[in-house]
Amino acid sequence: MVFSNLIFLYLFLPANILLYYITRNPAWRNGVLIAFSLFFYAWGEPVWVTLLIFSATIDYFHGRICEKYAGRWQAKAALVSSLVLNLGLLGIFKYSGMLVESINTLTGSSLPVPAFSLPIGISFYTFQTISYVIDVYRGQARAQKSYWRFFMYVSMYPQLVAGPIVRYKDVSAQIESRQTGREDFVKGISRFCTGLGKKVLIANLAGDFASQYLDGDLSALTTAGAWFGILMFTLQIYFDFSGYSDMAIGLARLFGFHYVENFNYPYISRSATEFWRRWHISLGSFFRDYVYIPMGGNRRHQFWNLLVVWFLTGLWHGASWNFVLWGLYFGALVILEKWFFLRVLEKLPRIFSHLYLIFAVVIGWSLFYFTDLSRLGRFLQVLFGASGAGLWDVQLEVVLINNLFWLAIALVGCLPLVPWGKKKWQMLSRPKWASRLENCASMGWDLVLLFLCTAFLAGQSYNPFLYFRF
Amino acid sequence: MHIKEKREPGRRKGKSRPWQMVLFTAVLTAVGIASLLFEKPNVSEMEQRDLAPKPAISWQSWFKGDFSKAFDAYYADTFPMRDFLVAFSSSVKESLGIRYDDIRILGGADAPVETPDEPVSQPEQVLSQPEQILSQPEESLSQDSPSAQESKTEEIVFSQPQEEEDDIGVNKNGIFIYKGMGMSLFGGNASVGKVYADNINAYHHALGDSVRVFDMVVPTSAEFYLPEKYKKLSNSEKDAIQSIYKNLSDGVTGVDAYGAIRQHTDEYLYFNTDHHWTGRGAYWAYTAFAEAAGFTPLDIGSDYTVKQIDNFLGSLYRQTQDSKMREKGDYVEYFIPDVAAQAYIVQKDQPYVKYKWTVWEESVSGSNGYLVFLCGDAPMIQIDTGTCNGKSIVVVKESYGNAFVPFLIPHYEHIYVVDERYFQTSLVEFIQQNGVNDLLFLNNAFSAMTGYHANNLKKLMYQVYVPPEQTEEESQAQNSRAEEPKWQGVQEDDIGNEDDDE
Repeated sequence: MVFSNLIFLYLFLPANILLYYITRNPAWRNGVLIAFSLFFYAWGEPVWVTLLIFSATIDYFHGRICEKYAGRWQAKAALVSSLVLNLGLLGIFKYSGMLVESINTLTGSSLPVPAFSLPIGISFYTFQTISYVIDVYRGQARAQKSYWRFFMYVSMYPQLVAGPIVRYKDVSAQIESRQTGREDFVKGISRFCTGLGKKVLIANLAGDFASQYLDGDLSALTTAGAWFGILMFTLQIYFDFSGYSDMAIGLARLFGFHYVENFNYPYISRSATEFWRRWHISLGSFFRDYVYIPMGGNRRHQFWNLLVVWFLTGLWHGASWNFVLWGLYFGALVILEKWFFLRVLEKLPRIFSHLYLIFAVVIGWSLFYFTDLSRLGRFLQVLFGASGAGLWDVQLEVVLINNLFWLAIALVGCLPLVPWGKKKWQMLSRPKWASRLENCASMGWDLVLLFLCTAFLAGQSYNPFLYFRF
Repeated sequence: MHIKEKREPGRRKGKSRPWQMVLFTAVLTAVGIASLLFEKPNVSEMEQRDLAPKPAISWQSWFKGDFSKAFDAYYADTFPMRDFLVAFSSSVKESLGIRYDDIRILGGADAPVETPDEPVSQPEQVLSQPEQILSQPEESLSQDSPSAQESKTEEIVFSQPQEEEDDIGVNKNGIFIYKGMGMSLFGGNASVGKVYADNINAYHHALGDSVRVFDMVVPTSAEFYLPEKYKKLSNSEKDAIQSIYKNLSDGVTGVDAYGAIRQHTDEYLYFNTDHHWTGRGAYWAYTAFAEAAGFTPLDIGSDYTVKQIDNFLGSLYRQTQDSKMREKGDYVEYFIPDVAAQAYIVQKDQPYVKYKWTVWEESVSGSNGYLVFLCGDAPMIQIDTGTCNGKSIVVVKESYGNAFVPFLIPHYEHIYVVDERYFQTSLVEFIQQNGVNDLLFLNNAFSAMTGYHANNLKKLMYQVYVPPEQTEEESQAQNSRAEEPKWQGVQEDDIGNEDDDE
């Protein structure tokens, strides 16, 4: 199931809320979350839900062993076993096809290419359980004694299929005992509606434009059309993915969980290094804490470490070489920046570093978008002016004007105006009734968003999330 | 293990009631309950399609993931007030920017971009969907009670949306709306046109000189009504048609409908809200055909009884729900010559049975306006006329042909209207068996340039009808459908009529 879906909004979610809040019994509440999570997952993956259960179960025991035999060989064995099993699953289901195809291409052999369908969210939940076992092994987290609580942590549907990658130690206290109340609920709703709006009202429309301009005949694409198309994809992927994270964070909060932020206005960054501290934060920090630092971080062969991390980051996004290329591209930028470029950027006026980052990111999204490398090559030619159809087209002109207000909203939505406005507002001295008014206005706005999204979803029969296949 | 939950300070003693929690949950729950209790529609008039049916659950369908997919589709299709919500979202989309120069362009990304290499296997897919042809409105001759008339409009279940879209298949450039007139932008591909022409040549080759073969490719509205500045957004249909005609072999006559229509572009030749031409547009094409075939056309000013159906909103409106298009609207004119005509229809999967049919289905209204012509598409419609000259013609067409065919009534004793998408037997044999004199291929520029249509022409030549294999379940389903009174009564009646006819 996905969040931007009428069944989720009007059947699943209300049933979940009602059953959850019907009593204060924590065991009941945990049970409700587990049952709904399993149903949520099985709705999209009725068979591979077994894999989720398997992964959660083995890592529950891995965690117990790591703690019980801390410092002894058994703990190490459990850690190794967890890594082998989880990465093995990921390897088999996600990368075996790519691997065999590549071997076939390189050696001219014709081994049969395995065609597993990728279980939804496997890249997210295997990373969660890996982080749990490692944290327990390192003594940074206590192993969960209760199987069901651990299972709840792994299977929590808000983050299950598209992140964020929630670390066990960040939510362990809430797994044991959590408060639920008005504050969390209302903030959770707001956050959810915001995310839903980002996905349905901006990302989906941007996605339509992107595919109109990027999926067609590239020889008929103008340079302006190419820029528009890739900018639309730039908007789409940000609003889609950050919208999904917002919805996940909001939903978790409805039930008393506080997840860490996953996005922090990445497009206002001034370097690729900064961008990756603001984009998909939970993935970046995973690779930092579990790959980069253990390899030696910046103390030993740093550039090599960076290359490995970025290779893996790219590969994580999909079993296709263009994602690896995309990861290495960012790796190269980060290395260049560390080497000298950051110092250069700091000396220049801010506008240059902003332009550099946006340019770098947009080119990056081209690598990300085109899984076919020959199409990518042709697209880049068009992007830089070598278009058979000219630089500008009148159709784009009309499309821009026809969607001017929406474009303005989408672009402004990339800037941190809302937090800025809230801060200013809170600094004002306000009479008491203002906060009530604020509450009403915020609720009203949430309902307006919900209504708009419902209307947009009603006409849409097919509405998959971009990040599902990662 | 017992876990204490702390109470929020605000919740104590009802100081600040959690009204937001209650309100939000209540809204979701209320809509959810309504969505389960409301009566579910089966068809969407706005979209002219059958809505996704409620799926039956079984272990197998659950584990294959089919159930959840089908249920998603069913739930979204039958959500309460869906038509209102869809219309609302369309109007929001319309106000996302400025309508500069009274122009709006909607992308055509969803329309398939077909290539000449496309496999010829598509028709099978089409034919395997049993609902499609049967969903014609049935004959009204036998029904005269007012209640039957009323229910009839509801029963007009819609003709094949996928095929309708296919008619505008090379629509990759999208829809252009100028002053309330919608136009599909033409993205035709000359290499498909070559396949189309070659396939027509093959008929001439097979039939020899005893059958005159004509091909008429009709331009669409974008060719004439795009504002000057935007002309190049649509490929030239004139060039496309010329390149097709150049590829026709000597025995095949290309009919210059383009030239005839071009001289009358200030008349109402194309709909504003639909991708078809009007009856008047078809009339001018008919004059061009008359010239090519060597007969004198009737005069549009004096020789016909002219009738019209108002408040027509067609396919382009349904696709876009554009407010300017709705304001502009359309009416459907049709022209009845003073010659008797009786039509018969051959339905899908009954290629050897004919039922009575109408040439003009005058009871249609609203978004079904274009169905006045032949009452939609069928594998074959035969029109026997009072023109006792012994001449007969086969018209191979998609829906563009429907507005054209009635003009032939004063010139042929028998007119066989073959839909290139649905006809199920060998067309060459059909032509030979019926002693046909003339064979006309009529397509709009979009379908002539669409691989699916071009390939179909070849497939029709010698195809052998294979009755659909039915599993027990399916045949039961069909039986139960046949038991519905609306079909049973009419079919029995019509079988009787058919016997008379023989």
